[in-house]
Amino acid sequence: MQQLKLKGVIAAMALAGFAGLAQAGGPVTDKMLSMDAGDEWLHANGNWAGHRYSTLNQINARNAKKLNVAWMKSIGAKTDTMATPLYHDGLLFIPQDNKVFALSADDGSIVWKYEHTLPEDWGGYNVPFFTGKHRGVAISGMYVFFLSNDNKLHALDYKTGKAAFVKDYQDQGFPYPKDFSQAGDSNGYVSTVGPLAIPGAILLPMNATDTGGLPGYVVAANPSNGDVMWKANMIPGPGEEGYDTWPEGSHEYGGAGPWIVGSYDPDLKMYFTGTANAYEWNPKNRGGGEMDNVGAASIVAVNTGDGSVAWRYVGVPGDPWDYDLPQTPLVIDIDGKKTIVQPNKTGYIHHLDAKTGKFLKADKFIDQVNWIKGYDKNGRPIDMIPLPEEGGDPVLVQPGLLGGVNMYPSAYNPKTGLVYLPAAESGMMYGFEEIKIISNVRHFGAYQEFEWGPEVDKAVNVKTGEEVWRDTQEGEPGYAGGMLTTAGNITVYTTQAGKFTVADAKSGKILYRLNMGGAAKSGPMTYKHKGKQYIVQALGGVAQFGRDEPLKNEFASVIVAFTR
Amino acid sequence: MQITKWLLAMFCAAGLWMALVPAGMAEEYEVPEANPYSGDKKAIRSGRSWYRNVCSPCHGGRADGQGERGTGADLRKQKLGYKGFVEVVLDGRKVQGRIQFMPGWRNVLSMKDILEITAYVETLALPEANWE
Repeated sequence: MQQLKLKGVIAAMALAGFAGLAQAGGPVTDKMLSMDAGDEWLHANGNWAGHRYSTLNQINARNAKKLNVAWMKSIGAKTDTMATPLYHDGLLFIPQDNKVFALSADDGSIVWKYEHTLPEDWGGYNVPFFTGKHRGVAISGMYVFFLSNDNKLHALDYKTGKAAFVKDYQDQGFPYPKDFSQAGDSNGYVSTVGPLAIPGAILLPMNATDTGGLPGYVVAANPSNGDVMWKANMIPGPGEEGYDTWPEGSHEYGGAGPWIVGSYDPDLKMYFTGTANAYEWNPKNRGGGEMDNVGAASIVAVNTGDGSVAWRYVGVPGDPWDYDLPQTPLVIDIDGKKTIVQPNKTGYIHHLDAKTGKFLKADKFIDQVNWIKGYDKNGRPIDMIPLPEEGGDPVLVQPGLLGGVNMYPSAYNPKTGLVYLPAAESGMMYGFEEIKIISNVRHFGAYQEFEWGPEVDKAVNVKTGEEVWRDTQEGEPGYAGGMLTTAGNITVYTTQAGKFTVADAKSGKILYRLNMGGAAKSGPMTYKHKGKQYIVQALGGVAQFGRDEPLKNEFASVIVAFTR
Repeated sequence: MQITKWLLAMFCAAGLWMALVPAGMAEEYEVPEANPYSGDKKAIRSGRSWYRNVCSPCHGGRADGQGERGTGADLRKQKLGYKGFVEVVLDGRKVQGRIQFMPGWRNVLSMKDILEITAYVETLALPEANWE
């Protein structure tokens, strides 16, 4: 009897333990943050390394054709939905239009909604374009961390949506941009990017590049009150290597803002981020394309202990083409070497030693590249085409300024060794103009005309750089919203035209496709809830940066969950 | 004495006006019956420079509505007429249910700048456009 009782207790404990594993409630711990995505999806890009890889395999290459829509929910987006939702404890978290929604993982119903109002004098150069866009939230402890467009950090209780604190960074040198007609100085930072949660800090990328060029920073905020622990400058300061690659005074408006969620390595304790273009686009005030402008169009590694910059690699020296390198640097172990792998606008996948920033190689991943002939062994472009004359005729540049890949995230599957790219063939006619200034905001001094090519979703062998498969969307320009790949040997993406696609991760064979009728501008994610795996795709946005016609779609806003 | 007081009052009133009204507000934004810069090569060149800095991010380098910063109208096909076009540039236009909008440029650009931009955009007109 006694033994039976004991057995019963053990069985009950085992069951409770199993339930606990299957449904991890309560605070999100550092241990949970350090793992690959599995039952939970706790980072915008799945894990710290930015892989967008899930260990779940309930939905797999053998059964994907039997997928069904589990639920759909609109969050009423009024501009592009760019965030990948997070999943924790039965809830999905997604930011949109300066709101954060918590949706039930059962049926998508809204469990809570948090709303933030922007200041009345909000406005400025390109600001209507950025307003309402967000590329993710972070979660740590009991809080969902949300960075609103006006650079305020909101710590929201994940169960209730109630704000524990809202931290404003204006007095830390991060003003928001103001309406031209109301302000003598309209320059300011606009946050569209998601924070990243690491042990003891929430990392906030601060970007003002295309709203006037104030310099970019990564800020570490204390998770308990939002206080600034350190600020890492993307453009080198006096005494730092690369400071003299900018003419005196040009650092101040040089841009180089980080504007996509970065990655983190817990062994090196480094944060890796790509940075935006150098500002203004017309390079005449910053060396005319002859000076490297290190820190802009670069990959930057920050020591997270003190915010010092470990290294900067400039992928487009003197960037005259608006070829920023903002994409999430993937941290991948290649032949025992921790390697930064970043597919970017240039049309190349850059490989760097994660510890030192040493250039290893650059693999071309699209067909049409004319701006250079390649990269030399030191990681410098070979034979860049001549710059256009200011006020003269524009020149053909391939890829266009939207790039071989753009902001839409790539994925890496350690089982296949392949990187999955939401790529496009593109070009532009590009020219320079005199730089106009309004309310102290320096404008681009450049312009472009799109030369569209098709969206091409593809898999590339990360070691060899060889393309393994491609899925070309003929006649449909643009980019898939982002990639997801899993241990079930599937890769999932939704094309700009709205085709939700599950492909065999190894072969690229399309296993399931559903035309959802609206543009995807965010990557899919997956989670397991009550023993069942779901795949979620948030749709929402204007197709193709204003080119709706070839895709025959209008604006859509809906989140769709699939299961089997 | 009387005159001195009157002058002082006028001076103070002018000072108050300067203090209360932001720079540029005092500028005349009356839309002329016809664009004095229409067809003027120098003005069109200047308008193009403004267009490429200020307008092309949303409306595209070709003014076809394909900007890298969003969904601008295709200005080659604009049907508002000359005056209607200038009024939208001055006061902007919101799209129901959407965040992105055309901002107004009154008190930001001068009327001369706006008319020069207008003269440039007119040169890009397709047959279906209305510039009457």
